[in-house]
Amino acid sequence: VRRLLFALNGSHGETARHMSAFAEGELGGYRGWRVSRHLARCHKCQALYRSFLATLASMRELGRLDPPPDEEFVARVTERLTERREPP
Amino acid sequence: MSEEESRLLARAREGDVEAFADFVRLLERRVRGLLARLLDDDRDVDEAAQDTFVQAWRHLDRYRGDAAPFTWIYRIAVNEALQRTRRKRLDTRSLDAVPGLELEIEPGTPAPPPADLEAESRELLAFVADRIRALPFDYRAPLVLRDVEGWTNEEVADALGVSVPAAKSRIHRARMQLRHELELWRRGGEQEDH
Repeated sequence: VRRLLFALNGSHGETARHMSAFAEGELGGYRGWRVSRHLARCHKCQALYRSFLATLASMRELGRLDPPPDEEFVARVTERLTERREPP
Repeated sequence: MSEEESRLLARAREGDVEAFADFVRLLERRVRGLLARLLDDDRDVDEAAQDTFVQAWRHLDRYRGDAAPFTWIYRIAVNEALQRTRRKRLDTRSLDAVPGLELEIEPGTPAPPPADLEAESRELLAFVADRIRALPFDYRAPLVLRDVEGWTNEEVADALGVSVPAAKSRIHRARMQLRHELELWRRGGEQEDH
């Protein structure tokens, strides 16, 4: 009975293990169907999935932030370039 | 932007230092941002960013134009971060021995999120950045490249010299660890409110 239920509804562990692939649309076939079915029925995994997606969104947001420009940085780099061009 | 970068690189290949300086000016923030996420010591970031552009200058002839200039410079930056991390041997802990999904790192400080939404967003991003930097490099690098920088799984695997399944596995474990820490952080805030 347990095997049958797993075959139909999946499990928390399987859903967590494949969450990245599921979120990226890479989990197809029977396993994708089972994870999708599990998520539709399991409130615990729904909450996990929501916080998982929120984590991904936070990281994307982080990627939009760069440090402020540093004009002296360019000078430091070009100084090193010109140093290299001088004969030893 | 990419066309201008390509044009500047073409001039730099002919020895035009000023053109290369303009190229550096265009990309320095993104490169420093990437290295700040990849390296866990702030003192290394500026030097690594400088070394990245110096390496690029020295190897301008290797840029074939089949990738965007910023992709090329990003790869040099990733290599720079990899080499520095290997030299320093910072990450000696093995994660494979840790049971379950959670990685073996110190839990984040469960400071409650502030009430103000904008301040909360800043706090959240600062927390995320801090916890990413606390990950071992083998997990941090693929996570940063995939989820912060937006590379594909294949590009991440290629840049880090691992198989695509290995890259995906590391990304997934790092994501789950970060999700766990963020959830703890958020729960800490809720508990403070009640």
